[in-house]
Order: sequence, then structure tokens, then C-alpha cells
Amino acid sequence: MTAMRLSVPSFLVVLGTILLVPVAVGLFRDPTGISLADALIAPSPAFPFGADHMGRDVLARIAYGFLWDSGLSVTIVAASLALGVGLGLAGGYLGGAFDGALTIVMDLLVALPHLVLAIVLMAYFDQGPVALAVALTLPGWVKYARLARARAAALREADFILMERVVGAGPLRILLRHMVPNVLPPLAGLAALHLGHTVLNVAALGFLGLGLQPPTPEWGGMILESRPYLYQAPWLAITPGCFVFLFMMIFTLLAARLEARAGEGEREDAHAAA
Amino acid sequence: MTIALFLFRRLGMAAATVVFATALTFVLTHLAPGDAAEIILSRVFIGDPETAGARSDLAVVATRFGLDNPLALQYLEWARNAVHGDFGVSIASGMPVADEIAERLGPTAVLALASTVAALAVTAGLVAAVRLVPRTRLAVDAAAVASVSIPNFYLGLVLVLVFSLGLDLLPVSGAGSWRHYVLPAAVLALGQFGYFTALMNASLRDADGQLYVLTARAKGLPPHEVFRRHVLRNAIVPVVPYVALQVAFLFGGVVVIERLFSLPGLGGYLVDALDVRNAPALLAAIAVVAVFVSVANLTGDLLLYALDPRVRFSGRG
Repeated sequence: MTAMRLSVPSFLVVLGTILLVPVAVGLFRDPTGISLADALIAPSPAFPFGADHMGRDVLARIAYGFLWDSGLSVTIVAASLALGVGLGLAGGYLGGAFDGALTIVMDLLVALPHLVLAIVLMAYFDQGPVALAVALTLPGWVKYARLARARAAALREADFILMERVVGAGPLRILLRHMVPNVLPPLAGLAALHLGHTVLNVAALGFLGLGLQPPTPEWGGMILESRPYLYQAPWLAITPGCFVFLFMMIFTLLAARLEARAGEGEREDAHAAA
Repeated sequence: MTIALFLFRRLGMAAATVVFATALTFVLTHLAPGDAAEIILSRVFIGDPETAGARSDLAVVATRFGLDNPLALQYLEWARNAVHGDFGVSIASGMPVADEIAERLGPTAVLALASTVAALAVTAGLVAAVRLVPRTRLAVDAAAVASVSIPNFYLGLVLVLVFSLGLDLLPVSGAGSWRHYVLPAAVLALGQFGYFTALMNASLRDADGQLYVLTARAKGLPPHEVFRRHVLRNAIVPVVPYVALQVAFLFGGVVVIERLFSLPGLGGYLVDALDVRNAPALLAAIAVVAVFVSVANLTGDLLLYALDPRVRFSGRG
């Protein structure tokens, strides 16, 4: 996704504000208080985003849903990054049988649709946040590992790594002090896009009823719960959907920005070397 | 690399993928809490086998379905039957799973084909617009970002709200006529075209800047010839395997969309099977998805082999 020239920082700030202001306000409200008298109230001063079929405040549920969806997604991305970089570097640097096995496992994991894999896993796990994190991390780490592995294999023969070996540095020192700092920057764009996709997948699983279970406020689950009232109270589905959309858009643009930056950096490196 | 060796390696990988997917699912269904024989019996008696006085039947059921064999043996038995087209009997309906799957393939195939064709058509239009009409780049980029960012289940609900509930033009759910496929296919296509458009535009821009394009232009080739023979031929190469991969992964979206529109396809079958812990149905659905993904990827690889001579000469495919 290198082509998106819309990735202007000021535009990102505007989108971020639209996302975060309602969240900041909503965190001071009650997301789980049921009041049947207020059921399906349309957006109004008392309920800026309306109330759902149990009279719960949609604004508060959006805000706490943000904490759940984004918090869980950040955890999944961090775990995928750590696992992927660790395994990828080890495979690329050490080579041999470990690298061969890693390559096969990665080829098998990327050959299955991630959402399908996660759906099947979630149906057989206990459906809690930990299970959700595992089900999405399991296919999530592969992209990082591929990049880290390729980069480590290329760096293995670089002069500064050879020098380190000459002065007697062990593999662990080389991996941690030299490989990791060289591998991480180009992964930033990938991680940003992954974060957006993960929120999308967490919400999709919630929508299928396989994600976080009610009464936990979660954007996909909110859309699922709103379906019977789509005609009477369309805002119940539209509002959480808009927030998933907004979140994904912010991180798509951010990823494009980061990748363009990384591309520029590489061109500068090439100029400096020439 | 010869085409035979190329095909052999790719087919090997495809077979390994199918085995991996089904074996993983097989293990999961057997690790799940609850005795398989009890689940089968409780479906028959609609209740607890204890109270139905069927405790002694548990052993009979276990033997009948081979449930007391080692897991690996059970998997091999399943795989042998599956290769012969026998996926066992659905725990939910008592019907042969193979027949049920065959019924479900049609709607999913129509949905996947229609949405991919539509997405490629939109991509071709937008890519042409960027190159032929001045000052359309920003609008096309914005459309691509929106396309990749919008959750498909949300887009589906919004389209239902507008076209079914609001304008009363198209049915909300079900299958039966072509009109039932318009909204689901549109949702999938609208989610796909952004990836294709962004990648194709970036790839075309890269090809534009190549020295051989400058050479072609310098020697006086007319612009449309430069584009067709040098720019497009090279720009399309990275896009083809990507489109194949996206088509393969379309199934994730299909599961959600079939559920949303109650379309009786394979995705809905898979989720229904999960809901009631219907292991034979789930395994068959996963096997079909894995085969579908492998075939899509294989097609992409073969197209790449045809389009890019470098693949033919390099050791790695």
C-alpha cells in the first residue's frame, strides 16, 4: 500500500480527534447500566449516540469498546511482532534445520485464510479475551517472521556483523544488539496495518458471536446485538461500524506514511553508499 | 526450471496445506470438551443419554463411528474416505455431508466469481481513470483507502439499510434469484477493489520510471505501444499472484457475508457446523476451503510462470 498520497499528517490528526473525543467523553459514562425505560432512544442530548435495546448508553459502550478492541489488538500485534521477529531472526541467522522447519510452518500458515483459522479456533476454545489473542496471534506473526528472516539472512554476511564475530561476540549478542535494531524500523508500517486489520478481525469475530461475549462492550458485538433493530434504530449499528471504519482508516493511512518514510530512508542510504 | 518441476513442487505444497488444515481441525474437534459418542447420542435422544437410559449405547456408538481408535488412525480413516468422496454423516441432520456440501457450493461459487469479476472491473476503470483523466488520482486513492478500511459486515448492513429497507429494491436475505446475490457480491467487491487498485497504480508507477521504458520512448515507439508492451507487461507481474491470494482469502469475507445475508453457501455451512459442534460437516467444509485456496494459489503461480520469464529461469519459483 505504498501508493496512497492522502497520507497527510494533518488529515491523520483530524481523523484521530474524531475518534478520540467521543471516546474520552464516553469513558466517564456507564457502559453496562440497564434501563429499559430508555430502550432504543434516538441520539439526543441525554444520550448523544442513543441507547440500545436494553437502554444502555451507546456513547459509553463505544468508549469502553475502544478500550477492549484496541487494547486487545495492540496486545495481539505486540505478541505477533515479538514472536515473528524472534523466530525470523533465529531462522535467518542460524539457518539449517530450524530455518527449514520454520519456512514450512510459515508456508502452511499463510496458505489458510486467517479469519477462517481464527473462527475455527475460537469455536473450540473458551471464548475469552486470552483465547481471542491466541487465535489471532497464531497466524499473525508470519508476516513479521518472513521480513525479519530475509533481512537477517542478508545481514549475516554484512561487514559489521563479521567484525563482531571476529572480536568474539556470541550469536545472542549479535542478534540482540545488531540484528534487532536493523530489522525493526521497516516493520513499523507492517505493524500499523496489522493493528488496523486486527481491530477489523476482532470486530468480525464479535459480529459472528465468536469474539468477546456480551455484556462486554465490543464494537463487533454491538453491531450483532443491534441487528434485530436495524430498521427501528439504525444508529445502533451505524455508530460502532463507523468507529471500526475510522480506526482502520487511520492505521491504513499511517501505514502508508510509514512505508513511504522507510522507502525514502532506503533511497538515502543508497545515495550515501554510492 | 521446467514447468513439470514447477508444477510438482507447487502441487506438493498444495497437498501439504490441505493435510495441515484438516489435521489441525481434526485434532481440535477431538480435543474439545465432551465425549463425541455422548454428543452423537444426545442429538439422537435430544437430551442427556443418562436419563434416556442409553448409557449402554455409548459403547455401541463409539464402535460404530470408530471413536475408540487412536486419533492418528481415525484421521487416516477419515482422509481415506474423504479422498473417495465420503465425508461421513452430518451429526445435525443425519444426511451424508458430501451431498450437503455439494448443495452449498453453488451459492458460494457464484458469490466469489461475481465479486471478483466486479472488483477487477472497478480496478480497471479506476486505473484507467488515473492515467487518462487529469486530477483523478486523489479521488481514486481516497476510494481505495475507504475500500480497504470499511468492515464488510458494516458495509453489508448499510447497503441493506439503504437498498432493501429504505428503497425496497433488493431482498434482505436468502437465495433463489439473482437479486439475492447483488448486495452480498457488491459488499465483497467493494472491499476488494481498493487493494487491487492501490497495488496496480503503485506497480504501474514503478514500471513507468524504468530505463527500458525511457529507451522505448526515446526510440520513437508510440505511447500506447510503450504502455502495452513495456509498462503494462511488467507492471502486471506482481499484481497477478496478489489477486490470486486475495481470491483465495476471499473466503474469510464469504463466511461473514453469507452469515449476514443468510445465503445458504459453504461459509454459512461452516459456521452452522461450528455452532452445533458438527465435526464431520466442519472437517468437510475446511477441506473444501483448503482445496479452494490451494487451487487459487496454484492458478496464480501458473499465470506468473506464463507472464514472467524470470520465474522460468530462476531456481526458486
